[in-house]
Amino acid sequence: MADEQLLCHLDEIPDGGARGLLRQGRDDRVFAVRQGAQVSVWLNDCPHNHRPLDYRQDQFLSGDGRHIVCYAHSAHFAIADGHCFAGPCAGQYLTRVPARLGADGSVWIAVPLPAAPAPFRAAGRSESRHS
Amino acid sequence: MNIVGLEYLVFGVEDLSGAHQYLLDYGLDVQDHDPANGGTYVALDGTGLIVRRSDAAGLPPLPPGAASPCLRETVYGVADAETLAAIRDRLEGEREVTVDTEGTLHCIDDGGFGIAFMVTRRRRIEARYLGFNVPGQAPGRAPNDCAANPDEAIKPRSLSHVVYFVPDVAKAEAFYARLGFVVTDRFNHLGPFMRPAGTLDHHTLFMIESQNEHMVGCNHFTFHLGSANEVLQHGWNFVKKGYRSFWGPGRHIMGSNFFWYFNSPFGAVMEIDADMDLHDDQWVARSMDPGSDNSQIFLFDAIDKWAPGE
Repeated sequence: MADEQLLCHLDEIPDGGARGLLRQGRDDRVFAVRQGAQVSVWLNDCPHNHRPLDYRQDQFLSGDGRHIVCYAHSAHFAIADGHCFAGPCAGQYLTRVPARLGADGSVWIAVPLPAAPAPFRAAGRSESRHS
Repeated sequence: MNIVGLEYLVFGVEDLSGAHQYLLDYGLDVQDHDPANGGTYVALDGTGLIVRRSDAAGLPPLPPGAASPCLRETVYGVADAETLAAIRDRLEGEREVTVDTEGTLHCIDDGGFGIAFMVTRRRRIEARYLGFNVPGQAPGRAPNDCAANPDEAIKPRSLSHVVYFVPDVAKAEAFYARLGFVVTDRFNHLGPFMRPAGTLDHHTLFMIESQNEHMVGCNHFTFHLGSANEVLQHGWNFVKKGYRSFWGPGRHIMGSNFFWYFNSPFGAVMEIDADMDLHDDQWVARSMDPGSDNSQIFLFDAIDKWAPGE
Protein backbone atom coordinates (compact mmCIF):
# COMPACT_ATOMS: atom_id res chain seq x y z
CA MET A 1 0.00 0.00 0.00
CA ALA A 2 1.21 3.45 -0.84
CA ASP A 3 -0.17 5.31 2.18
CA GLU A 4 -1.19 3.66 5.40
CA GLN A 5 -2.40 4.66 8.80
CA LEU A 6 -2.34 2.70 12.03
CA LEU A 7 -5.92 1.75 12.86
CA CYS A 8 -5.54 -0.21 16.10
CA HIS A 9 -3.86 -3.26 17.59
CA LEU A 10 -5.29 -6.74 17.09
CA ASP A 11 -5.70 -7.09 20.86
CA GLU A 12 -8.11 -4.16 20.87
CA ILE A 13 -10.64 -6.13 18.81
CA PRO A 14 -12.35 -8.97 20.67
CA ASP A 15 -11.76 -12.32 18.97
CA GLY A 16 -15.01 -13.26 17.22
CA GLY A 17 -16.24 -9.70 17.63
CA ALA A 18 -16.06 -6.26 16.10
CA ARG A 19 -15.03 -2.76 16.99
CA GLY A 20 -16.02 0.65 15.60
CA LEU A 21 -13.08 2.98 14.93
CA LEU A 22 -12.17 6.40 13.45
CA ARG A 23 -14.77 8.43 15.30
CA GLN A 24 -16.24 11.29 13.30
CA GLY A 25 -18.88 13.26 15.16
CA ARG A 26 -21.21 10.74 16.81
CA ASP A 27 -20.42 7.82 14.47
CA ASP A 28 -17.46 5.59 13.70
CA ARG A 29 -16.33 5.79 10.06
CA VAL A 30 -15.07 2.18 9.92
CA PHE A 31 -15.39 -1.06 11.83
CA ALA A 32 -13.02 -3.99 12.16
CA VAL A 33 -14.10 -7.63 12.47
CA ARG A 34 -11.69 -10.15 14.00
CA GLN A 35 -11.73 -13.91 13.60
CA GLY A 36 -8.59 -15.27 15.24
CA ALA A 37 -5.66 -13.63 13.43
CA GLN A 38 -7.89 -12.50 10.53
CA VAL A 39 -9.07 -8.91 10.49
CA SER A 40 -11.36 -7.29 7.93
CA VAL A 41 -12.15 -3.58 7.94
CA TRP A 42 -15.27 -2.02 6.42
CA LEU A 43 -16.78 1.41 5.99
CA ASN A 44 -19.55 1.85 8.57
CA ASP A 45 -22.00 2.64 5.79
CA CYS A 46 -24.90 0.33 4.95
CA PRO A 47 -25.62 0.24 1.20
CA HIS A 48 -29.37 0.53 1.95
CA ASN A 49 -29.63 3.96 3.63
CA HIS A 50 -25.93 4.85 4.00
CA ARG A 51 -26.12 5.08 7.74
CA PRO A 52 -24.04 3.30 10.41
CA LEU A 53 -24.73 -0.40 10.91
CA ASP A 54 -24.28 -0.71 14.70
CA TYR A 55 -27.10 -0.11 17.16
CA ARG A 56 -24.76 0.52 20.06
CA GLN A 57 -21.03 1.01 20.31
CA ASP A 58 -19.26 -2.00 18.69
CA GLN A 59 -22.52 -3.94 18.07
CA PHE A 60 -21.97 -4.93 14.43
CA LEU A 61 -22.42 -8.71 14.38
CA SER A 62 -25.33 -11.12 14.52
CA GLY A 63 -26.19 -12.72 17.87
CA ASP A 64 -24.10 -15.79 16.99
CA GLY A 65 -21.22 -13.68 15.65
CA ARG A 66 -21.35 -15.36 12.23
CA HIS A 67 -22.48 -12.40 10.15
CA ILE A 68 -22.33 -8.63 9.95
CA VAL A 69 -25.78 -7.13 10.54
CA CYS A 70 -27.09 -3.65 9.91
CA TYR A 71 -29.29 -2.89 12.90
CA ALA A 72 -31.34 -0.32 11.02
CA HIS A 73 -33.33 -2.76 8.86
CA SER A 74 -31.74 -6.21 9.40
CA ALA A 75 -29.52 -6.39 6.31
CA HIS A 76 -27.13 -9.35 6.73
CA PHE A 77 -23.61 -9.44 5.26
CA ALA A 78 -20.99 -12.18 4.90
CA ILE A 79 -17.87 -11.49 6.96
CA ALA A 80 -15.69 -13.00 4.21
CA ASP A 81 -16.58 -10.59 1.42
CA GLY A 82 -19.19 -8.09 2.69
CA HIS A 83 -21.88 -9.50 0.40
CA CYS A 84 -25.42 -8.67 1.52
CA PHE A 85 -27.31 -11.97 1.40
CA ALA A 86 -30.51 -10.91 3.16
CA GLY A 87 -32.34 -7.68 3.82
CA PRO A 88 -33.30 -4.58 1.87
CA CYS A 89 -29.95 -4.20 0.03
CA ALA A 90 -29.52 -7.89 -0.83
CA GLY A 91 -26.99 -8.40 -3.62
CA GLN A 92 -24.96 -5.29 -2.76
CA TYR A 93 -21.69 -5.15 -0.82
CA LEU A 94 -20.19 -3.33 2.11
CA THR A 95 -17.18 -1.24 1.13
CA ARG A 96 -13.97 -2.96 2.19
CA VAL A 97 -11.13 -0.87 3.58
CA PRO A 98 -7.81 -2.48 2.52
CA ALA A 99 -6.08 -3.57 5.71
CA ARG A 100 -2.79 -5.24 6.65
CA LEU A 101 -1.83 -7.00 9.86
CA GLY A 102 1.73 -6.21 10.96
CA ALA A 103 4.00 -8.78 12.59
CA ASP A 104 3.52 -7.05 15.94
CA GLY A 105 -0.26 -7.27 15.69
CA SER A 106 -0.76 -3.70 14.50
CA VAL A 107 -3.63 -3.21 12.03
CA TRP A 108 -2.86 -0.82 9.18
CA ILE A 109 -5.38 0.54 6.71
CA ALA A 110 -4.97 2.26 3.36
CA VAL A 111 -5.53 5.99 3.27
CA PRO A 112 -7.41 7.83 2.06
CA LEU A 113 -10.43 5.65 2.85
CA PRO A 114 -12.30 4.29 -0.17
CA ALA A 115 -15.39 6.21 -1.21
CA ALA A 116 -18.75 4.83 -0.16
CA PRO A 117 -21.10 3.91 -3.02
CA ALA A 118 -22.99 7.14 -2.31
CA PRO A 119 -21.80 10.22 -0.42
CA PHE A 120 -20.89 9.42 3.18
CA ARG A 121 -23.53 10.92 5.41
CA ALA A 122 -21.17 13.52 6.90
CA ALA A 123 -20.99 15.06 3.44
CA GLY A 124 -24.75 15.50 3.34
CA ARG A 125 -27.98 13.65 3.80
CA SER A 126 -28.76 13.24 0.15
CA GLU A 127 -30.46 9.89 0.61
CA SER A 128 -34.21 10.27 0.82
CA ARG A 129 -35.67 8.62 3.84
CA HIS A 130 -39.22 8.42 4.94
CA SER A 131 -41.11 8.54 8.20
CA MET B 1 -64.40 -2.02 13.40
CA ASN B 2 -63.47 -0.27 16.62
CA ILE B 3 -59.74 -1.03 16.59
CA VAL B 4 -58.11 1.44 18.98
CA GLY B 5 -54.48 0.94 17.94
CA LEU B 6 -51.41 -1.12 18.65
CA GLU B 7 -51.41 -3.18 21.84
CA TYR B 8 -48.11 -5.06 21.46
CA LEU B 9 -45.40 -5.69 18.90
CA VAL B 10 -43.79 -9.14 19.13
CA PHE B 11 -40.16 -9.41 18.04
CA GLY B 12 -37.97 -12.47 17.56
CA VAL B 13 -34.32 -11.74 18.38
CA GLU B 14 -31.08 -13.63 18.90
CA ASP B 15 -29.51 -11.17 21.36
CA LEU B 16 -31.95 -11.27 24.29
CA SER B 17 -29.65 -9.54 26.76
CA GLY B 18 -28.89 -6.68 24.35
CA ALA B 19 -32.60 -6.30 23.64
CA HIS B 20 -33.40 -6.27 27.37
CA GLN B 21 -30.87 -3.54 28.12
CA TYR B 22 -32.00 -1.52 25.10
CA LEU B 23 -35.60 -1.47 26.25
CA LEU B 24 -34.64 -0.58 29.83
CA ASP B 25 -32.59 2.31 28.48
CA TYR B 26 -35.48 3.27 26.18
CA GLY B 27 -37.56 3.70 29.34
CA LEU B 28 -40.10 0.89 29.12
CA ASP B 29 -41.10 -0.91 32.32
CA VAL B 30 -40.42 -4.65 32.65
CA GLN B 31 -43.71 -6.50 33.08
CA ASP B 32 -42.12 -9.94 32.93
CA HIS B 33 -38.64 -11.13 32.02
CA ASP B 34 -36.85 -14.46 31.65
CA PRO B 35 -33.22 -14.06 30.49
CA ALA B 36 -33.43 -17.30 28.48
CA ASN B 37 -36.72 -16.59 26.71
CA GLY B 38 -37.45 -12.87 26.61
CA GLY B 39 -39.91 -10.56 28.25
CA THR B 40 -42.72 -8.02 28.07
CA TYR B 41 -41.87 -4.32 28.27
CA VAL B 42 -44.60 -1.74 28.62
CA ALA B 43 -45.22 1.98 28.27
CA LEU B 44 -47.26 4.01 30.77
CA ASP B 45 -50.58 2.94 29.20
CA GLY B 46 -49.70 -0.77 29.24
CA THR B 47 -48.99 -1.11 25.51
CA GLY B 48 -45.55 -2.43 24.67
CA LEU B 49 -43.09 -4.88 23.20
CA ILE B 50 -42.95 -8.64 23.63
CA VAL B 51 -39.46 -10.05 22.98
CA ARG B 52 -38.90 -13.74 22.26
CA ARG B 53 -36.08 -15.95 21.08
CA SER B 54 -36.25 -15.96 17.30
CA ASP B 55 -36.60 -19.77 17.34
CA ALA B 56 -39.28 -19.86 20.05
CA ALA B 57 -42.12 -22.28 19.44
CA GLY B 58 -45.40 -20.65 18.51
CA LEU B 59 -43.95 -17.47 17.01
CA PRO B 60 -45.55 -16.54 13.71
CA PRO B 61 -43.20 -17.06 10.74
CA LEU B 62 -40.86 -14.36 9.47
CA PRO B 63 -42.51 -12.22 6.79
CA PRO B 64 -41.52 -13.87 3.47
CA GLY B 65 -38.00 -12.81 2.51
CA ALA B 66 -37.21 -11.09 5.83
CA ALA B 67 -34.18 -11.94 7.98
CA SER B 68 -34.10 -12.29 11.77
CA PRO B 69 -34.08 -10.30 14.04
CA CYS B 70 -37.50 -9.17 12.88
CA LEU B 71 -41.01 -8.22 13.85
CA ARG B 72 -43.05 -11.40 14.12
CA GLU B 73 -46.52 -10.22 15.12
CA THR B 74 -48.47 -6.97 15.41
CA VAL B 75 -51.15 -7.19 18.11
CA TYR B 76 -54.04 -4.74 17.83
CA GLY B 77 -56.21 -3.69 20.75
CA VAL B 78 -59.92 -3.49 20.04
CA ALA B 79 -62.62 -1.73 22.07
CA ASP B 80 -64.72 -4.69 23.20
CA ALA B 81 -65.67 -8.34 22.75
CA GLU B 82 -68.25 -7.44 20.09
CA THR B 83 -65.57 -5.87 17.92
CA LEU B 84 -63.36 -8.90 18.41
CA ALA B 85 -66.19 -11.20 17.34
CA ALA B 86 -66.91 -9.07 14.26
CA ILE B 87 -63.24 -9.20 13.24
CA ARG B 88 -63.22 -12.95 13.74
CA ASP B 89 -66.28 -13.34 11.53
CA ARG B 90 -64.73 -11.17 8.85
CA LEU B 91 -61.34 -12.90 8.84
CA GLU B 92 -62.45 -16.52 9.24
CA GLY B 93 -64.24 -16.31 5.92
CA GLU B 94 -61.04 -15.57 4.04
CA ARG B 95 -58.07 -17.05 5.94
CA GLU B 96 -56.98 -19.32 8.76
CA VAL B 97 -57.60 -17.76 12.15
CA THR B 98 -56.49 -19.29 15.45
CA VAL B 99 -57.76 -18.28 18.88
CA ASP B 100 -55.44 -18.70 21.86
CA THR B 101 -56.37 -19.49 25.46
CA GLU B 102 -56.78 -15.80 26.27
CA GLY B 103 -59.16 -15.25 23.36
CA THR B 104 -56.66 -13.40 21.16
CA LEU B 105 -57.16 -13.92 17.41
CA HIS B 106 -54.08 -14.68 15.32
CA CYS B 107 -53.70 -14.76 11.53
CA ILE B 108 -51.44 -13.65 8.67
CA ASP B 109 -52.25 -10.47 6.72
CA ASP B 110 -52.08 -10.09 2.94
CA GLY B 111 -48.45 -8.97 3.10
CA GLY B 112 -47.38 -12.09 5.00
CA PHE B 113 -47.13 -10.37 8.41
CA GLY B 114 -48.43 -12.04 11.56
CA ILE B 115 -51.24 -10.00 13.15
CA ALA B 116 -53.44 -10.51 16.19
CA PHE B 117 -56.42 -8.88 17.85
CA MET B 118 -57.36 -8.70 21.53
CA VAL B 119 -59.64 -6.59 23.72
CA THR B 120 -57.44 -3.70 24.76
CA ARG B 121 -56.00 -3.55 28.26
CA ARG B 122 -54.80 0.02 27.92
CA ARG B 123 -54.83 1.85 31.22
CA ARG B 124 -54.99 5.50 32.15
CA ILE B 125 -51.61 7.20 31.93
CA GLU B 126 -50.33 8.55 35.23
CA ALA B 127 -47.48 10.98 34.62
CA ARG B 128 -46.41 14.52 35.25
CA TYR B 129 -48.75 17.02 33.58
CA LEU B 130 -46.90 18.76 30.76
CA GLY B 131 -47.87 22.40 30.36
CA PHE B 132 -46.34 25.07 28.17
CA ASN B 133 -46.23 28.81 28.75
CA VAL B 134 -47.29 30.51 25.53
CA PRO B 135 -47.76 34.29 25.35
CA GLY B 136 -51.35 35.02 24.44
CA GLN B 137 -52.59 31.80 25.98
CA ALA B 138 -53.41 30.85 29.56
CA PRO B 139 -50.27 29.79 31.51
CA GLY B 140 -49.47 26.14 31.02
CA ARG B 141 -47.73 25.78 34.38
CA ALA B 142 -48.21 27.31 37.79
CA PRO B 143 -45.75 29.99 38.95
CA ASN B 144 -42.50 28.45 40.27
CA ASP B 145 -43.11 25.15 38.46
CA CYS B 146 -39.79 24.69 36.61
CA ALA B 147 -40.02 22.67 33.40
CA ALA B 148 -36.34 21.84 32.89
CA ASN B 149 -35.12 18.89 34.94
CA PRO B 150 -31.85 17.27 33.86
CA ASP B 151 -32.73 14.15 35.86
CA GLU B 152 -36.29 13.73 34.60
CA ALA B 153 -37.22 10.04 34.23
CA ILE B 154 -38.80 10.16 30.77
CA LYS B 155 -40.99 7.20 29.90
CA PRO B 156 -42.72 6.25 26.68
CA ARG B 157 -46.44 6.88 27.11
CA SER B 158 -48.06 4.74 24.43
CA LEU B 159 -47.18 2.46 21.53
CA SER B 160 -47.87 4.63 18.49
CA HIS B 161 -47.20 3.08 15.11
CA VAL B 162 -45.49 0.39 13.10
CA VAL B 163 -44.14 0.61 9.56
CA TYR B 164 -43.83 -2.31 7.16
CA PHE B 165 -41.92 -2.90 3.98
CA VAL B 166 -44.53 -4.80 1.93
CA PRO B 167 -44.27 -6.51 -1.47
CA ASP B 168 -47.66 -5.26 -2.72
CA VAL B 169 -48.77 -2.08 -1.02
CA ALA B 170 -52.12 -1.84 -2.84
CA LYS B 171 -53.07 -5.34 -1.70
CA ALA B 172 -51.92 -4.63 1.85
CA GLU B 173 -53.80 -1.33 1.97
CA ALA B 174 -56.99 -3.03 0.77
CA PHE B 175 -56.72 -5.60 3.57
CA TYR B 176 -56.55 -2.94 6.29
CA ALA B 177 -59.27 -0.86 4.61
CA ARG B 178 -61.60 -3.86 4.96
CA LEU B 179 -60.88 -3.73 8.71
CA GLY B 180 -61.93 -0.09 8.86
CA PHE B 181 -58.53 1.61 8.59
CA VAL B 182 -58.64 4.92 6.69
CA VAL B 183 -55.85 6.57 4.73
CA THR B 184 -54.89 9.89 6.32
CA ASP B 185 -52.05 10.82 3.96
CA ARG B 186 -49.99 9.18 1.26
CA PHE B 187 -46.48 9.27 -0.19
CA ASN B 188 -46.90 8.81 -3.95
CA HIS B 189 -45.55 5.51 -5.29
CA LEU B 190 -44.52 4.53 -1.76
CA GLY B 191 -47.49 3.92 0.48
CA PRO B 192 -50.26 5.10 2.80
CA PHE B 193 -50.45 6.34 6.37
CA MET B 194 -53.46 4.62 7.95
CA ARG B 195 -55.40 4.92 11.19
CA PRO B 196 -57.98 2.46 12.47
CA ALA B 197 -61.49 3.64 13.33
CA GLY B 198 -60.94 3.66 17.10
CA THR B 199 -58.28 6.39 17.24
CA LEU B 200 -57.78 9.88 15.84
CA ASP B 201 -53.97 9.52 15.71
CA HIS B 202 -52.64 10.39 12.25
CA HIS B 203 -51.28 6.90 11.76
CA THR B 204 -50.79 3.65 13.61
CA LEU B 205 -49.66 1.95 10.38
CA PHE B 206 -47.54 3.14 7.49
CA MET B 207 -46.54 0.87 4.63
CA ILE B 208 -43.67 1.21 2.17
CA GLU B 209 -43.67 -0.62 -1.15
CA SER B 210 -40.63 -2.90 -1.37
CA GLN B 211 -38.00 -1.92 -3.92
CA ASN B 212 -36.89 -5.56 -4.25
CA GLU B 213 -38.00 -8.99 -3.06
CA HIS B 214 -35.69 -8.83 -0.04
CA MET B 215 -37.01 -5.50 1.21
CA VAL B 216 -39.66 -7.06 3.41
CA GLY B 217 -40.17 -6.70 7.13
CA CYS B 218 -40.38 -3.92 9.64
CA ASN B 219 -39.03 -0.48 8.75
CA HIS B 220 -39.59 1.08 12.16
CA PHE B 221 -41.85 1.33 15.19
CA THR B 222 -42.51 4.13 17.61
CA PHE B 223 -43.74 5.02 21.07
CA HIS B 224 -45.25 8.42 21.83
CA LEU B 225 -43.40 10.55 24.36
CA GLY B 226 -45.03 13.54 26.01
CA SER B 227 -43.50 16.49 24.18
CA ALA B 228 -40.88 17.72 21.77
CA ASN B 229 -38.67 18.41 24.77
CA GLU B 230 -39.02 14.79 25.85
CA VAL B 231 -37.96 13.60 22.37
CA LEU B 232 -34.86 15.80 22.52
CA GLN B 233 -33.94 15.05 26.14
CA HIS B 234 -34.65 11.32 25.95
CA GLY B 235 -32.85 11.03 22.60
CA TRP B 236 -29.89 12.92 24.02
CA ASN B 237 -29.72 10.51 26.95
CA PHE B 238 -29.91 7.59 24.50
CA VAL B 239 -27.02 8.99 22.46
CA LYS B 240 -24.94 9.39 25.62
CA LYS B 241 -25.52 5.72 26.44
CA GLY B 242 -23.82 4.79 23.15
CA TYR B 243 -26.86 4.10 20.98
CA ARG B 244 -26.61 5.00 17.33
CA SER B 245 -28.84 7.68 15.87
CA PHE B 246 -30.32 6.76 12.50
CA TRP B 247 -32.25 9.97 11.72
CA GLY B 248 -33.12 12.97 13.78
CA PRO B 249 -34.11 14.86 15.73
CA GLY B 250 -36.53 16.54 13.39
CA ARG B 251 -40.20 17.16 12.70
CA HIS B 252 -42.27 15.33 10.13
CA ILE B 253 -44.82 17.09 7.96
CA MET B 254 -47.35 14.29 7.54
CA GLY B 255 -48.50 13.66 11.12
CA SER B 256 -46.52 16.66 12.45
CA ASN B 257 -44.72 14.39 14.93
CA PHE B 258 -41.33 15.35 16.27
CA PHE B 259 -39.07 12.36 15.64
CA TRP B 260 -35.74 10.78 16.45
CA TYR B 261 -34.84 7.33 15.10
CA PHE B 262 -32.22 4.92 16.45
CA ASN B 263 -30.80 1.63 15.24
CA SER B 264 -32.00 -1.25 17.42
CA PRO B 265 -31.43 -4.96 18.10
CA PHE B 266 -34.91 -5.69 16.69
CA GLY B 267 -34.05 -5.56 13.00
CA ALA B 268 -35.94 -2.29 12.62
CA VAL B 269 -35.28 1.30 13.51
CA MET B 270 -36.88 2.37 16.78
CA GLU B 271 -38.31 5.88 16.90
CA ILE B 272 -39.38 8.17 19.69
CA ASP B 273 -41.98 10.75 18.72
CA ALA B 274 -44.33 13.35 20.16
CA ASP B 275 -47.20 15.67 19.29
CA MET B 276 -48.77 13.77 16.40
CA ASP B 277 -51.80 15.30 14.67
CA LEU B 278 -55.31 13.97 15.23
CA HIS B 279 -57.77 13.53 12.39
CA ASP B 280 -61.45 12.74 12.11
CA ASP B 281 -63.65 11.70 9.23
CA GLN B 282 -63.77 15.28 7.89
CA TRP B 283 -60.09 15.07 6.94
CA VAL B 284 -59.14 14.78 3.26
CA ALA B 285 -55.95 12.78 2.74
CA ARG B 286 -52.99 14.58 1.18
CA SER B 287 -50.54 13.10 -1.31
CA MET B 288 -46.91 14.12 -1.53
CA ASP B 289 -43.90 12.88 -3.43
CA PRO B 290 -41.38 11.19 -1.16
CA GLY B 291 -38.03 12.83 -0.49
CA SER B 292 -36.22 14.83 2.13
CA ASP B 293 -38.19 18.08 1.72
CA ASN B 294 -41.54 16.34 2.18
CA SER B 295 -40.33 14.00 4.93
CA GLN B 296 -39.50 16.72 7.46
CA ILE B 297 -39.62 20.43 8.14
CA PHE B 298 -36.18 20.47 9.73
CA LEU B 299 -33.45 18.05 10.77
CA PHE B 300 -30.74 18.45 13.41
CA ASP B 301 -27.80 16.45 14.69
CA ALA B 302 -26.78 16.00 18.32
CA ILE B 303 -23.46 17.66 19.07
CA ASP B 304 -21.32 17.84 22.20
CA LYS B 305 -22.40 20.23 24.93
CA TRP B 306 -20.66 23.58 24.99
CA ALA B 307 -20.90 26.92 26.77
CA PRO B 308 -19.46 30.34 26.01
CA GLY B 309 -15.94 30.57 27.43
CA GLU B 310 -15.12 26.90 26.89
